[in-house]
This record gives sequence, C-alpha cells and structure tokens, in this order.
Amino acid sequence: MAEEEVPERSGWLTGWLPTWCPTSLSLLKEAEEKILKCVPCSYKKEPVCISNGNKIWTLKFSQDIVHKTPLVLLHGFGGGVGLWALNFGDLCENRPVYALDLLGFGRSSRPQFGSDATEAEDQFVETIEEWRCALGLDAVIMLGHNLGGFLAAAYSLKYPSRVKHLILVEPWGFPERPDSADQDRPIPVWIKALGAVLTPFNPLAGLRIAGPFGLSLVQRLRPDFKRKYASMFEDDTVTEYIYHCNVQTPSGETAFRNMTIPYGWAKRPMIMRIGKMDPDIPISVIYGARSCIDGNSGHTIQSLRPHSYVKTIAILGAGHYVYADQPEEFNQKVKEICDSVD
Amino acid sequence: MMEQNFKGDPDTPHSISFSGSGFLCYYQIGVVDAFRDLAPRMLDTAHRVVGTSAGSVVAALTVLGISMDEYLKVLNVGVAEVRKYFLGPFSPSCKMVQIMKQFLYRVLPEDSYKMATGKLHVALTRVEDGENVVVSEYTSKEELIEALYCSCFIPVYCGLIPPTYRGERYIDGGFTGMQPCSYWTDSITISAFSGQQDICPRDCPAIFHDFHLFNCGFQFSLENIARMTHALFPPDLMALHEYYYRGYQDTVLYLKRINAVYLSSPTKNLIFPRVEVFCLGKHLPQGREWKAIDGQNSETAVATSSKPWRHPLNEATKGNGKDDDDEDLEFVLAQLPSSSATQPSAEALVPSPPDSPRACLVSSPSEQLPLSPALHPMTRSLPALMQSSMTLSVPFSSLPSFVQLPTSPPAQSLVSTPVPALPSHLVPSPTLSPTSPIMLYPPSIYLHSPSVCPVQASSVETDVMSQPQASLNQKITVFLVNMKETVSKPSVKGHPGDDTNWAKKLFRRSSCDTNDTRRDFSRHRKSRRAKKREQQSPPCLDSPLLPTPGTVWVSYRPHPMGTSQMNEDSQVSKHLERDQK
Repeated sequence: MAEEEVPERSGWLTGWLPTWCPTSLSLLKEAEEKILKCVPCSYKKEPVCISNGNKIWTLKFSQDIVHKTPLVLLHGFGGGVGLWALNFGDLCENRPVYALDLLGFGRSSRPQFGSDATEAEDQFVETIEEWRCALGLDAVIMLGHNLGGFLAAAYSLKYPSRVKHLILVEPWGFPERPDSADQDRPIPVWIKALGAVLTPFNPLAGLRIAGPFGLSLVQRLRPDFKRKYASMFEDDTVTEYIYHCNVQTPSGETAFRNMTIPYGWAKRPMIMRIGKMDPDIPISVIYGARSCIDGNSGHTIQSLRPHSYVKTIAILGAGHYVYADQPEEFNQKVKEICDSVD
Repeated sequence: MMEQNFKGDPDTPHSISFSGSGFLCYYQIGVVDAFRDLAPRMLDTAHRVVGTSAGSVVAALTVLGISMDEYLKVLNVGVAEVRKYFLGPFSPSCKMVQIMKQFLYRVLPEDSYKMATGKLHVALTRVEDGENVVVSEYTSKEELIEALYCSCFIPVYCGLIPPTYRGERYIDGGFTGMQPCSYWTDSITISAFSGQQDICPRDCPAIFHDFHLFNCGFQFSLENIARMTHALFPPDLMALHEYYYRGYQDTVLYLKRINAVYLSSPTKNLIFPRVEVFCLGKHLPQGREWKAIDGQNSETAVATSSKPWRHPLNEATKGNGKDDDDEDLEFVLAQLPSSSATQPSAEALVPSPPDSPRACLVSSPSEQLPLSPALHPMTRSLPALMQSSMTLSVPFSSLPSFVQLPTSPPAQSLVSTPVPALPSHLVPSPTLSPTSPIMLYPPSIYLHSPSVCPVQASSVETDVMSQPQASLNQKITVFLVNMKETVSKPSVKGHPGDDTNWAKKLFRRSSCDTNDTRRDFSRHRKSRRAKKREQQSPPCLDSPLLPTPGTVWVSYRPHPMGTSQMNEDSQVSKHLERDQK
C-alpha cells in the first residue's frame, strides 16, 4: 500500500487517530457480517478466549463431521477470516474447517507484541497453540497464506505432533534477503532516500494517516479486491472489510514490521529453519503463477527436506491472492491435499 | 463475455497483452524474442494481441512477424539521441516518437493492415472523454501507424498536440489502462514492471504490497520505482540491454512454469520441449514426455538426440535447471565440475535464489564423481593461452573492460574472425564446437580464479569460495541471491560482479554463433547480437589484438563511459548518414 511521508505516530496521536479514521469495531463487525452473509453454508462464530485475556475470533464450519482431521485457515498480513469467503463453501463439504483471525489482526484482540522478531513470532505461535487447546483439536491440517504461511510453518516447527499436513499458500518470509541487495541495485539516489524515509513506518501507516480518505485510498489503490470477489459481492464490501481490518490499532501489523527487515524480507527467514522440521510432516506449497512471491520456495524446501514429502502446486492465472483469484481450482487442490490426509 | 481461463496450452485460444512500457520495451522485446525462439506456437496461435504505449509497437511487430532486430537498432539510436540532450526526452529537438514512426513506415509491409485487422488491438485514451478505447480495425497502413503513434503519445513528453486517428484525438492508452484489456481472462500479460502479471520481472519476493495505478497493479518496491523512471528517462544502453535479457529470462521462467504444471497434470505432456532443452539442467523424466506435442520434428530431434549425453550433465546440474536459462554457460560448467566453486557462477544467472541450495546439494561429490575423471584431463590440459589469460586477468579485476566488450571491436571479432581452434579432444561435447574456445573461456576463469587470481572475482565471490566446505551450502545461498541481484541489475558502470555476468552473457551469446546444434533455437538472438556488435563498434578502433582471447582481455581497456558515449555518437552519425542517403 502506498505510504505517505508523515510523522510517526506517538502517544497522543494514538488516542486521536481513531476519531480521525472513520472506523470502529462495530463497523468492522458489520463489514464482516456482510461478507459472511454470502457464505453458502452454515457456520458458528465465536471469540475463543486464550491467556492474557486475549480473544481469537474464530469461524467454525461443519463441526458435526468428527472423524476427519480439521483444516485450519490462517489468513495473511492485513487480512482476516472474511477473505476466505470464496473458499469456505467448498472446503467444508466433507471436513471441519476453522478460520481464525490471527492475534492482532481482524476481530481478534490487539495486544502489544514483543519488539523482538523471535518474541513476536513466538507470541503468534503460542496463541495458535492455545487456541487449538481451547477448541480441543487434536491434530490439524494447517493452511496459511502469506504471513499465515510463515506462522503455520513456525507452528509446525514447534508443535510437529499437531500438524498432519502443512499447506503453504504464497508464504511470506521464506527466502533470505540478499546481502548486497542495497548497494548493488541500480536505483537512483532519490528513490533510495524515499525508501529510507519510509522504513520506520508501519507498512500500512499511510492508510491510518489518510483518515477519512483511507477508504477511498484502498478503493483507488486496490480495485483488484473488488474484482476478485465480484462473483460474490457487487459493491465495495470487501474493500471496506479490508479497510476496517487494517485501520484499527496496529498491533499485529507492528509485530509484522518487527519481524521484517527492509523492504519486506523476513528477519528470521523460514528457509533457514525449515530443514529442521519433522520429516514426517508433508508440505504442499501452492502459489499463483502471476504472483510476485515466486514459487521457488517450494523447490528449495524440497531440497532442504530430501526425504520428506514436499509438493509444489502452481495455479496459472492467479496472483498473490490465489484463493480469491482462482477459487475453484484452489479449493479443488486443497481438497485433494486434505483427502490425502484422511 | 466470459472466456475460459488460459491454462497455458498454446493450442487453446489465448491472447497476449503488452503493458505500457516506455523505454522498457526492451524487456518486452526480449520476451517476444524468447517466445519466437522457444515457443513460437504461443505467438502463432494467439488470436489477439493487445498493446498500449510502447507495448503496442511491440505487439504490432509481434503480430506482423517482423524481426525485432531492426527495431532494436532504431531504439538504440533513439536512446542514444535522447541521452545526448540535457533535458533528455523533454528537450524540444528530441524526436524519439518520430524516429519510431519513420521506422514503422519503413518496415511495415503495405498490406500489413490486413494482417493486423482483428488480431492486433491497440489501446488508446480518447482525449475528449478520457475513455479507454481499443481499436482493432485498420483500413490502411497509414491508419495502423497512426493508431500506434497515438498509443505512444504521452502529452508534453512527446509533444503538445495529440495526434488523430480517424479524426479523433487520442493519447497514450497507458493512462487509462496500463495493462490493456485486463478483463480478458485468457491473456498472457506481459509487463516490464513487476506486479501480478504472467511475465514480469520479479525482484524481491518478500514484498507483496501492490498498488494500482492506471488500472494496473504494481509491486511496491524500490526497483519498480526505478523502472518507472527508466521507462520515461532511459538509462544507458547497457542497462536497457540488461532489461532485454531480463525479459528473455523471465519468459523462460514462465514457460517452465507452464511445463511444470503440465508435467504434474495427469496428461504428463511437456508443452514446450525447447525450453527444457534450453535450460538443460532440468532433470527430465524419461519416456514419452519427450514426444513433444509441439510437433516440430526438428526440435524434437534435437531434444532426443541430445538426451543421451546430456543426461549425466543434467544430474550434475539438476538443481539449476528449474530456472536457469543460461544454457551454454551451464553447459560449460557442467563440463568442468571439478570445483564446486564453479557452481555458483552457473547459478549466478538463476533468477530465483531459493533454488540454489538444492543445486549445491545435488552437485555434491557423489554425483559428480562419475563425471570428473573424464573432465579432469580437459581442465588440466586447457591450452596455455587460457592459463596465461587467467593470470593476466588480474589487471582487469575491476572489469571495466567487460562492460565494454559488447560494444567494442574485440567482441565483434570474437565472433567474426576465426579463432585458433582448441584441440578437439579437449572438447568432449558434440555441441561444443572445437572452434569456440571462447566458450570455455569465462568458466575457466572462474574455475581457477579462487586459486590463481582471487582478485579477479568480485569480493563476494572470493568470500564464498574461501569458505570451508561445511558452510558452503549456506553461504552459497547467500551468494547466489546476491548474484541474482547483480544479474538483474541493469546498471552499467558498476560493480564487478555485474560486469562479469555481462561478460558471461556475452560469451553465451557469442558461443551460440559457433554452435551448430543449437542453431535452430538461438537464431534470433544470435543474429541480433551480431548485428548489434557491428553496429555498435566504433569505426575508429581497429582490432589487431584479437586472434587470441588472452590478449583481448588485457590489451583493450578503454574507459567505459568514454567509449559508450563515442559509440552512441557514432551510431547516431551513421544513422543520420543512412537517412541522408
């Protein structure tokens, strides 16, 4: 998202911003309900309480199917459960499906995260584990998109016995940042300067600074979301949802920023650690052929786990939001993967 | 109208969409050349091709089947001219668009409009109401050229008064739709800016923030912003040629993705066998996949005939294959695998870093062993001139001469004058023609550089190579990523690593010239490169030093900037002379 050159938010600004941005939890709730109304199957939704008084907003589908391993959907950076709207219907046909808002995103609690990358990552992973315990799930199929993919991998590293299959959809944070990236690029000085100015800001700070113009900014800069979900919503529902998800207090967003190094690379790249993952956990990597995050992570993972199951699936004609760009194909692939589990 | 999504099979109806690109149309030209070389069916069967801005001219040349070489020449001249002015393209005497128009008049056949009608779509912005208009019918050649001219017309930048097409005034279609006809679901989208397109540069996989401008998604990355400035204010020719290669490379990646999708589908068909041959390193499943559905006998023959001896090489460089389009280089490196330090240089052109660790793993000793005995004699008995050149290579450690190579007479004569042949027993591969010592040349430098002259390699390189074996894999990853960055970097006067790559690429190209077996799919590039060299060679420099490559390296070392300026000037003057005639 485009960022603007603005003073970084300080304490007094935090208190003032909510009134500057036309958003509130109830508006977010409204937008989410508007989205979920179109989901063609029945579901339950509830905040799941975990430690420290945090709540994880959860959707549950097909809970009556008990003999199948449930599928857990982790959304990406800046997203929420609502973005899976095109996928719930198919995925929950013969399997329980859980979707949650990650801590600090969507309608979950937005606590203060640790400023250290490791700490923030652990916090995310622990909340997922606590969430799983609270729901009493024994083992799950983890599916994560973008940041969710990174966290799903981190979770599988820490709690391997709980993961039957790891599905990484366009995962963020796998490759390592090249050392010489900065000095070698043929980038004019003024662009580098711009980059340096933007570095201290949260990725979506511009959105909050824009205040009342934020919504139209999202609509202007990301008209593609509306197109992606056009089969479901005629109006700007999705853009509104995304706006309200991200314009709230930036908690998960700050944690994400702490986990990155400019510009957008992971501080602790998953590729360095994935080799240590339990070799019994099968991994599937799904990526959109048009996406900027290229699918090579899959092949690298394969090479780092020579004796384990790693499959890379490319979906043609899909960009980063694979599940919204080509929902049918995505759903079908995911179902195939899930069926291979049980 | 709801169309089928394009699934990559060239026989299903599909369209091609060229984004607006300005001077970065070099990238798109690279893409088209790659398609023509490796997947011509993809272009032949496209039922419509749309382009906007500079992309529309590329689209037109694609549809009409006109060789890109000519256009590149004209562009080179144009760029040189633009760069002469202080104000760049804004200076009043700059006539980039006019040059292009003249070119179109010259190369388009009289009946081109018939061919173009219905197939070539040009996206324009109507001045009157700011609507995006797509035209696809032309009644004369003039009208076709007018449409293309309108599509390239950026107000102020190209002039003040918009041109007319069928009596209405239009400007650049990029203003209302940078990626034209994005609502076509069956299109292969080709953009010179990284974003969510089928073929586009992918710079940093980590940033996923997109923003949309002019109805087109762009990735929010510094490289991309740099590209946008380059599109309107051209960098020097070297950087633009780098874009060309990037386009070629990205296309290979795209075709490989499609291949991969189809190989994993139940039909297990290999759609673009040429790509796999081109990439060589890829480990291909045996058997019927080789029965190309592309149906062109010649290429299948090449594929099959080359399989027996290529296969072991595939084993050695299996990891590279996935993404490496750098066939000849990889070749050579596969021939000389006795040092794992060579591996990174082969990998250097791999556009996708994450693949590399695998490459390193795969090329571990166990798999190399069967190869090395055969190769050892060869590496040892490299002719003395090579050895000497290696030691001599110290002086050009900073490598500015590499930068110069493509534009210098030495480079030209590397191709044109017969070079003393290596004894043929040194060259076990049938495709490595004995008359191409140049081909062995750059890798051999790499092979020896760590021990003989570490200075020659860039600092990063030596760093990696001197690492203990244990940490090599990990280190190499880093290194490869670096190299990827440097390769993708369209800079001119800079970093040694980059320059080396450039040199390698050059050698790759020049080695094509002497390489018979692969002629069928490197023709375009070859001829283009050759022509370019001819054209770019400054007339004032003769080249007595050329017969042995070793001397070339040390003796010719002009200042990069000085000569490139000279080259540009001489090109322009040549061009002007021709025009006057």
